[in-house]
Amino acid sequence: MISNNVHESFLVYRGLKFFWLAVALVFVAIILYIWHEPLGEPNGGTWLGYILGVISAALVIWLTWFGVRKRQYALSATKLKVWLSAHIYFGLALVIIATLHSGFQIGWNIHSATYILVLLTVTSGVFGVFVYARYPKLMTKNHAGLSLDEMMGKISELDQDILKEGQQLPEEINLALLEAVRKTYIGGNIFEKLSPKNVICPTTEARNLIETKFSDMTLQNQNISKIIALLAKKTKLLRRARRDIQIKVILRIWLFFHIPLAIGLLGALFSHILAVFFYW
Amino acid sequence: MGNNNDIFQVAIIGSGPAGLSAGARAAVLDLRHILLEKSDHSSDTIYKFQKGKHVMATPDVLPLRSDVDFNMGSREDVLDTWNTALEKHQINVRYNTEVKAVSGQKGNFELTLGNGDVINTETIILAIGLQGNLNVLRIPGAESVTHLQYQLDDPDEYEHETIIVIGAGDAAIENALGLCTHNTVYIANRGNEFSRAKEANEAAILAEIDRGRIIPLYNSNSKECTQGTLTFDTPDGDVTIECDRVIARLGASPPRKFVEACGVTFPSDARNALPEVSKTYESNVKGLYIVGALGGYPLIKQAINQGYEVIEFINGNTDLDPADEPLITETLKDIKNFDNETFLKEIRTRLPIFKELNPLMKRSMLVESRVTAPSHGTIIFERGDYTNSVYTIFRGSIKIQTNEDDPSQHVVLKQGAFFGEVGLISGRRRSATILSNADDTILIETPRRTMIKLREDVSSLRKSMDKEAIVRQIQTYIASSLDIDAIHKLAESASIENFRKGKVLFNEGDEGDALYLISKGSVMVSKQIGGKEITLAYVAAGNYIGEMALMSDLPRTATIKAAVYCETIKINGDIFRKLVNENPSLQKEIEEKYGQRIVETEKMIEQPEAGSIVEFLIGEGIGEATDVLLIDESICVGCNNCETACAETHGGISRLDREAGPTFANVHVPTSCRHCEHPHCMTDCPPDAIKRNSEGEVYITNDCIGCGNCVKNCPYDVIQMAPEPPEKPGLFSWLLFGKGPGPGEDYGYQDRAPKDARKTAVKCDMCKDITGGASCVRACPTGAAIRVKPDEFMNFIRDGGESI
Repeated sequence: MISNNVHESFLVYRGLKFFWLAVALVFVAIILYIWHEPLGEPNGGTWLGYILGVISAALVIWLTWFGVRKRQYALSATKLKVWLSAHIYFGLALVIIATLHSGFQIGWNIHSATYILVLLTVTSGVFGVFVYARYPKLMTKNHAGLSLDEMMGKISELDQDILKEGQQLPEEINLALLEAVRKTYIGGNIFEKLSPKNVICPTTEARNLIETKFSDMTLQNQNISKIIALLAKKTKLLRRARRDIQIKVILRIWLFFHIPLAIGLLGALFSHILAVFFYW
Repeated sequence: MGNNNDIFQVAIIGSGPAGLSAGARAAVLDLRHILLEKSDHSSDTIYKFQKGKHVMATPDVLPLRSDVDFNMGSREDVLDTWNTALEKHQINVRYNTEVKAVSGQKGNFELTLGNGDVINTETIILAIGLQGNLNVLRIPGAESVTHLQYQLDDPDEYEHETIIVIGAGDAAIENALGLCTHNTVYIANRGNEFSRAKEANEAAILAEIDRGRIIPLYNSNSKECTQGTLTFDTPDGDVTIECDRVIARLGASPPRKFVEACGVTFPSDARNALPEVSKTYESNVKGLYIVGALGGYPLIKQAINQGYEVIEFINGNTDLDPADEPLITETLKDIKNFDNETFLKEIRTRLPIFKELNPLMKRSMLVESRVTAPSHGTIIFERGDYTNSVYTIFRGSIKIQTNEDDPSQHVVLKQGAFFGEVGLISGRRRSATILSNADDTILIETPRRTMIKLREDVSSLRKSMDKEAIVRQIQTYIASSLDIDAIHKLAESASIENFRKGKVLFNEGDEGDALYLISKGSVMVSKQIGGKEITLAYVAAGNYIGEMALMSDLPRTATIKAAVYCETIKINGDIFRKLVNENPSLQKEIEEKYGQRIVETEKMIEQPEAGSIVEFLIGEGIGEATDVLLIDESICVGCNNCETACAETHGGISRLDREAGPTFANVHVPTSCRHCEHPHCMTDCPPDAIKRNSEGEVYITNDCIGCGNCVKNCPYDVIQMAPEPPEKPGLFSWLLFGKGPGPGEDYGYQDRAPKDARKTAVKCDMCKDITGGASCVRACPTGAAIRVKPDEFMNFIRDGGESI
C-alpha cells in the first residue's frame, strides 16, 4: 500500500537502509584496521590513516551540509526525512571511523581537540535523536486534543470564574485568589521552562492556603468547595501548559549545543588538516 | 417622415451601460435621439451597488467597441467615466422619466410618459435590464412612515441604530451582515431558514445569529408600520419592535409585463425566459430593439458593445460583425472548411445537446470553448487526469477505452455525442482514456464553468446530460462487463436522488430494495455495536453501496449517511438482482466486492478507535477532499519546517498553519487546503481565477482581483488575502553578506505594507510548479507530515495511523 511508504518515520526509513550502509562502512574500516600492520603504531599518518582521515573529513563536511540542505526548500531531489535518516547513521559511523583514524592516540593538541569535538557533537546529536523519538508522543499525550492556545483560553475562563466566586469569600482568601490570577505565569526563564516543578506558583499557594487554613469551613461554605474545584482544574491545566512548554524547549534546546559544536568542529577540522600539512 | 423634426429617429429606454453606449453612438452619428431614464441619475443598477464595490470588466478577451469608456474599477470610478461620456457626447438624456406605454409601429412609435407627455420616435431601443421595479411593503402605514427604505448604499453610514432587515435572500443577508457590527440588527424571515441564499451567505448569517450579533425573527410576516415601529405577525402572536430603520429587501418584479405590453413575445413561461431577438437585436416587433441583460447579454462589457452595434444597425450598417467575431475566428483557427457562420449554424444541427441554445449563448459558449481537430489516435484525455471540461463531437468519432489493461476493449462515440460529463458531475478523476477515432474529428471542449452555467440555464441540456451520465456511470462503476442493452435497462429503472449533508440514505435493519451509486460527494458507513454507533468506512464518489442486502436477502447491515452533499443514482433492487443472476461475470465482481467489504468491516470493528478517527476526519472535510495534509503528532517535533518551506517556496506566505486545526488521537489536521472535489472557493470567483489542473491541484491564477469571495466561501479557512511580497535574497548572499531576511525568516512586510496595498487571495497550490511534490511534506525532517488522497486514507487509518 502506498500509504505505508508515505508514512514512515526518519528512524526506520526504508528498512533501516542507512543504518545498514553505515554498519557496512564501519565493518570494512575495522577489518582494514585489524588487517593493516603499519610500521610503528597505528597513526593518522599511515596510508590507511589517511584514507580513514579523508573519509572522516568528508563525512564531517557532508554532515554539516545538512544545515544548508534543510534550508533549500525549493530543492526537489530528496525528502529531508531521507537526509536526516542518513545524517543520523553516518554521524554515528563517524565516531568509529575517526577513532580508528586517530589510532587511539590522544594528547593536548589540535588533533585530539578535533576528535573530542567529534565526540561531543555526535553525543549531542544522539541526545537529539532520543528527544525526537520520545517527546512528540509525550507531547501528544499531554495535549489530549487541546493546543497550548486552547489551554490558555480555558485558564483565563477559569480565572474569571475564580474571581467571581472569590468575592464572596473571606478577605484573606480573596486576596490570595487575586494574587493567583494576577501573578501566575507560564514560561518564564529557561530554567523555569525546563523544570516547571520548581516554579513557585501563586495558584498552588492559594489552593494550599485554602486547604490548610479553611478546610474546616468547606462543609459550611459551598463557595469554598466550589473554589477548590476551580483551583484544582486550573492547577491541572497549568501543569499541562507548563509541561507542553517544557517539552517544546527540550525538543529545541539540544540544537543550541549540536550546531555550535558542529561549527566548532568544522573550524577545528580545518586547523587539524592545515597543521598536518604544515608540519609534515 | 424621416425628415420630420418632431419625431426622434431613436428613443432609448434605460440609461444603463447598453442604453448609455447607444446614446453616445447616436450622438456621435448625429441621429435625433433621446435617452429616457426613470431615476434621477444614469445607470441605476450600478448606482445602487454598495459603495466601493469592485466592478468587473469581463470577459477580458472581448474587445470594447463603444464611444463610452469602460475599465474595471470601483463603482465610483465607473460611474464617473460614464457621466463624463454623457457630457462629452452631449447625449440628449431625460431623467425622472418613466415610459408607461408603447404603441404604434416602426417609423412612428408613440411613447406615453409617466407625466402624460407623449414622445414620437421611429425606432425604440429597450435597454431596461432585468432589475425591474423593487417590490415594496404593502402594509398599513408603509406609505406614510419615513424610516422605511428598500435599499442600502453604504452600511457604514449607520451607527448605534436598531435596524430591522426584512427578507431572506442574498440582498437582505448582505445588508444585515454589513450593518451588524455597529448596530442592533434584526432579520425578519417569513420562513425558518435561509436556504434560498448563496451558501456562503447562509453560513455567514447563521454564524452571526449564533454569535448573537443578529437577532432572527423566524416565521414572521410584517403586519403594520407606524413611525418608529414595525409589527410582525408571528406564531406567538403579534410582536411590535421599536426601531430607527426598516430595510425591506423584497426582491424586484421582472420587467416582463411591460415588455409584453410593448408587443414583444417570450419563448416560454419560465421565470427566467428572455425575449428572442434577431442578429441585429430586433425583436418580433419591427423597429423595437432589445439590448443588454434583457436581450441575454448580462455582462456590462457585452451590453456596452451592443449599445454601439444596435445604433449602427439602425443607421443602416447591417454588415457590422459582432465584436466577438475575431474571438470566434481565433477559436476556429484550426478548423478547415468551415467559416464562422456555417460552424455556428451547424452546431444546432450536429449537436443535439446545444439545440436549445440561443444564438448569443452559442457564440459565448464557442468563445469560451476550445475547438480542436485531433487526428486518429490522438489522446484527448487519460484515465486519472483531473480535468473536468465537457467535449462534444462536432464531426468524426472518438474511442473510449473501457478496460485499462486491455486497450482493445472500447466503445466508439460518433458525431453529436458528448463525453466528459461524469468528471464534471463527480469532480473526480477521469475514469477512462479517450482517443480520437477518425482523422476528420472535430471536438468542442467546453470548460467547467461555462458548462455548469449552461446546465443551469438550459434545462434540455441538463436533462440529456444527466440521462447519459446515468448510463455512463453504471457502465463505468458497476457493470463494465454488461452489454449496452442491459445497462440501458438498469438505467431506465434508475433515478437521481440527492442528499444533504448528514441525511440518511438507509438505516441498518431496513429492507434492501435498491443499490446506490454515488455520483457526487461521499458517504459514511456506520453500525450499531454494543449500543454505540461506530463508523466503519467512508465511501467516495464513483462507488456503489447497498449491494450487501441485495445479494443476501438480509436486511441492511449498516447505516449510510451523506458525509457532504451527495448526488446518487438509485437503482431498482429487483431489476439489479435479476441482472446479476443472469450474468455470472457481474455476479463474481459484485461478490468479490461484497467479500472485501466484509473483511474491511471486521477489521474496523476490531479497532473502534479507528472508527472515531474516520468520523473526526470526515467532520474536517475529508469527505470532499482530493488531497489533504495530515500530521502524525506522535512523530511531529514541532519544528515548523513545513510552514517555513511553504513560505519559502511561495513568496514568503505560508499557506498552511501547522498548529491551528483540530487533533484527534495522534492525527492532526492543520489548516491547509483540502483541494475539494467541488471547490467551494470556485463557486463565486468573478474573474474565474481559481483553476484545477490535471493533477487535481486547485490554485489561484494571477487574474485574482482581490474580491475575497473565495475566503468567505471556504469552509476550512485556508485562503488568505495577502499583499505581493518583495523579493528575497539568495541563501548565500544572506549567509555571507547578511542581506535581507534569511531562509525561513519572516519578511514582516505584511505588517509594513501600506493599508491600501493591493491584496490577492493566496492558498495552497500543492507546489504544482515545483517538481518533487508538496514542499511541506518534503521539508518534514521526521516524516510526520503526509498528504493523503481519499482512496488511501481508509488504509492509512486501518493501519492505525502510525508506524514508528
